[in-house]
Amino acid sequence: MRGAASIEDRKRIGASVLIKAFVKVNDLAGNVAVLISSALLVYIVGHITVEIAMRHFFESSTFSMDEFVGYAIGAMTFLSLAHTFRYRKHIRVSILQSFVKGRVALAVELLCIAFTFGITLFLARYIWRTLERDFTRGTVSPTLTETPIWMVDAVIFVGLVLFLSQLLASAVLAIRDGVPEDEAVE
Amino acid sequence: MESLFVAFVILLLVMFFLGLGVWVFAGLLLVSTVGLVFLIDMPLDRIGKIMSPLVIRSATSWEISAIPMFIWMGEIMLRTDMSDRLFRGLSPLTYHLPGRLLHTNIMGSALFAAISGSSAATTATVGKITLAELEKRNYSKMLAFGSLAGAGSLGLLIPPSIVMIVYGVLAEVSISRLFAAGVIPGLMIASLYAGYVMVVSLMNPEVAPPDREKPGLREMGKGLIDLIPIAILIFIVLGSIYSGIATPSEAAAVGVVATLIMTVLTRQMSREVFFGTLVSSVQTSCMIAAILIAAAFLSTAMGFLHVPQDVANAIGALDLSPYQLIFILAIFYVLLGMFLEGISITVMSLPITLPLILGAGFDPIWFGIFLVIMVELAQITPPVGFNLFIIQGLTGTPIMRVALAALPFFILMCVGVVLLTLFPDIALWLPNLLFNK
Amino acid sequence: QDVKWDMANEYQDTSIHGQAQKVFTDTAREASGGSIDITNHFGGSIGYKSKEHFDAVADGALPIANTSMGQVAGIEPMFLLSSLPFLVGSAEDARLLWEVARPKYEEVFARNNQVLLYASPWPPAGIWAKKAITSTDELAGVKTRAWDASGTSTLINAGAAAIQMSWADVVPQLATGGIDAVLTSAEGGTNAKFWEHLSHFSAINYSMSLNMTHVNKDEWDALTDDQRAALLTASEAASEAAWGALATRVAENYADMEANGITVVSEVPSEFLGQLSSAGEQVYADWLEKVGADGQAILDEYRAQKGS
Ligand code: NA
Ligand code: NA
Repeated sequence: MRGAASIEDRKRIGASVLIKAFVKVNDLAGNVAVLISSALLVYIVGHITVEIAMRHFFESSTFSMDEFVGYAIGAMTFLSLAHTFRYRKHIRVSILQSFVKGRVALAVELLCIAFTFGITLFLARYIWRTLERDFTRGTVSPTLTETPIWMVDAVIFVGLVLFLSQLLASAVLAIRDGVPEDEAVE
Repeated sequence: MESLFVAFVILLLVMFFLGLGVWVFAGLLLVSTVGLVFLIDMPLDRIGKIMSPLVIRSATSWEISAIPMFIWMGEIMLRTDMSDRLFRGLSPLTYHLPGRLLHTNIMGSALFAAISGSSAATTATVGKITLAELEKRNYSKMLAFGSLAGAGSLGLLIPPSIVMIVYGVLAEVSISRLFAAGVIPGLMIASLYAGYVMVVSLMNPEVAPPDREKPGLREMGKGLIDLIPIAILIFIVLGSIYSGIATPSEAAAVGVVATLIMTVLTRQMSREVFFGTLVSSVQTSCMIAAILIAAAFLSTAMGFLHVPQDVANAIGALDLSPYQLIFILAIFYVLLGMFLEGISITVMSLPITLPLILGAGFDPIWFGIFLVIMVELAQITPPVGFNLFIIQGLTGTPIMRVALAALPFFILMCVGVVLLTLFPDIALWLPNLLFNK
Repeated sequence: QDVKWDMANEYQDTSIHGQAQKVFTDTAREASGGSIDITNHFGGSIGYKSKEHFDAVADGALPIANTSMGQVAGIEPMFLLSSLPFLVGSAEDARLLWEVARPKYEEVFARNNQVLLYASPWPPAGIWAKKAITSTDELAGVKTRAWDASGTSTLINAGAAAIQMSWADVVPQLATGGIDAVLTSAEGGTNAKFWEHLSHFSAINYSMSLNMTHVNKDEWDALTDDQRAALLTASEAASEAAWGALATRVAENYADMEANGITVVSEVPSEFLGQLSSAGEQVYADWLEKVGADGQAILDEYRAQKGS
């Protein structure tokens, strides 16, 4: 009898829809970000190959290789943090995890997520500060390309925000479905 | 001994955060932050201001770029028939060798070390190719993990090597001589490992089960043919370095391009192979890079806590004989290596230990090799040991079990250090020969 | 009150800057009666590179640092001044330029919450190669590694094949012939034992850029008058040590190099130097565009004083 569903039930259904949506959004954002990371890896290989070819065949250079490859590596790492976490590929020393079960395991898992969330939030707050300053001041790299540094800061910041959001989603999922197993990196 | 107290607190923090199961990169950032607040009352605001630019810098450094590329190369080999061919080819060839395919870890790492300058890239790439195959063939996990952990660190000793370059710049010694000096000690340690694997296999044949009938000459020949693709790849990458076409840091890109071309030529390229390997490589390198970034911040925290300086100064004040000095330094470096990664160890300790060493009459090239081996040991000691992390990442085996598997190889490397100390010419003979001095 | 500072320096304790810094910290400790205790972190061992020093000191993340100033020109373009090509031909020139520009530098530091204490010079940069480089013909097409954007751009304009690569790759690339030459000081090449791969050093006196020691303004203000006086005394001593060591350093390097078979070409034809100077003009133009009249005023003042 649908009409008789209590307010409590409706609240629960509403919450579960919200949770599903939140998890979905996170998955989607993580997938997009990891695609960008993959593209960056292809770009890194490409840039270095072009540099080698230019140096060897044309006695010239892109004059930006170590710099741009560096930015790409940083962006790649931070943009894939969330996705890597979602698929449980970040490693941990899971001694305690092998001993605890049920509610205790959930409590430990939530504590770990909370600690990780806390330090990441702390880092993100100060990355934001750096980003803000580099942007308003117009800081550029001390190289031929004079790249505006805030762009690099911004990508790292975005990666951290995605990761924070993914941590929340993982906490919610752990509460709903229990603590997931860690996987090996395939 | 204030610095001992500091070190003890750091150890407790590491045990707490990592033991609780906090993901390693976050755990290391937490250890550093809490350590700075607790031990020297550093305000949180200042810690944040220190952390932010250092994280950005270490995340965007050119030096780590080789890692994802080599991982991608290994990933492609795994998803195509290249790694399978490698094992099919080696299987008949190693049939009569005690330990059989276990030697792929050691030989593979030694070979790969000649291409790559980092131990993380060596371990991850070789491990990607070998570990699953060895498990499929019922080889002893302990020996497979241990030999990979130990041999993977040869990436630092066999040239090219990032740590040697850092040491050469700091100690103002010739990097070419250092590279030459690393070759024989690297091969020596690889031989110690191979010897150990053979002895264990002779005593307990089950660690390396035969997966086939006794091979004939024809099969051995076929095996050699199976090895051709890998041989071509190694030839191309090594050739690009030693002909001066690519720098050691660029060689990884050459390796990826060559592997991709070979995949296309052998008609194994597909969307699945290309994109699947990419995403998987991005995940693995994200895991490694995140820990490297956090480890760099930990070493900065240790710098602000003055741990390496204080301890090294204390050692300097002891007024030891040369052999005593080397012994104490070895212990110092092993302890430091439990928490810090290689380049940090080198950079932080060298200003203090190098004068001690030179004062005691040791050759700076020799000490460079000694230090590189110390750094290699650090790769396989818990709680912060990169090769252990990587093998855990590859297999899901808990780090303490991997560390246990690596223990015999840790001891063998220590034997290598003793030999190197007793017979310094193991390191010095080749550079003196090449650079006629 | 007692002050305990950590001082960052990207370069080794044996460099001119490292040696001077030791004089600085020792003198500071002595002159303050032990109340200023500065721990040196050489070779980048505290994790910072010069590039990050400027903001770190502004923030108070680092109380004090010794910084290669060309690296922070992306934040404050004025700091490119000392690494502009072919502006100074000798130690006297370099010191004059520093003294002329010092008030401007101090102003820039003050604007960024910092106090400038002293500067130490890099030895003049020349070209390490497998042959003497004394004309544009000899430079043409030579694969040369420069350490910064100005150097790269100047070398390109002068007809060399300028190559940008990290310092870590330089020796392996020299060994395998990936590059033929390096633009750096006699000391830089000596420390890296370039004679194992190269045979000539042409002293074109490309530039003598500066390292500066700067302290956080809040930390500075929190000191007692005596402590500030002690730091100024120490700065004076360090500055004298650095500038005084320059001539002997270069002579020692040359002796070392010749003993190891390097031909030091100390007389470079003025025609070639003129051509190199013109090749560097783009760098000047770009710089002046960024710093405007302030930069031009310093250059004018420097040229006037040098002429007199
Ligand atoms: Na290597
Ligand atoms: Na370790």
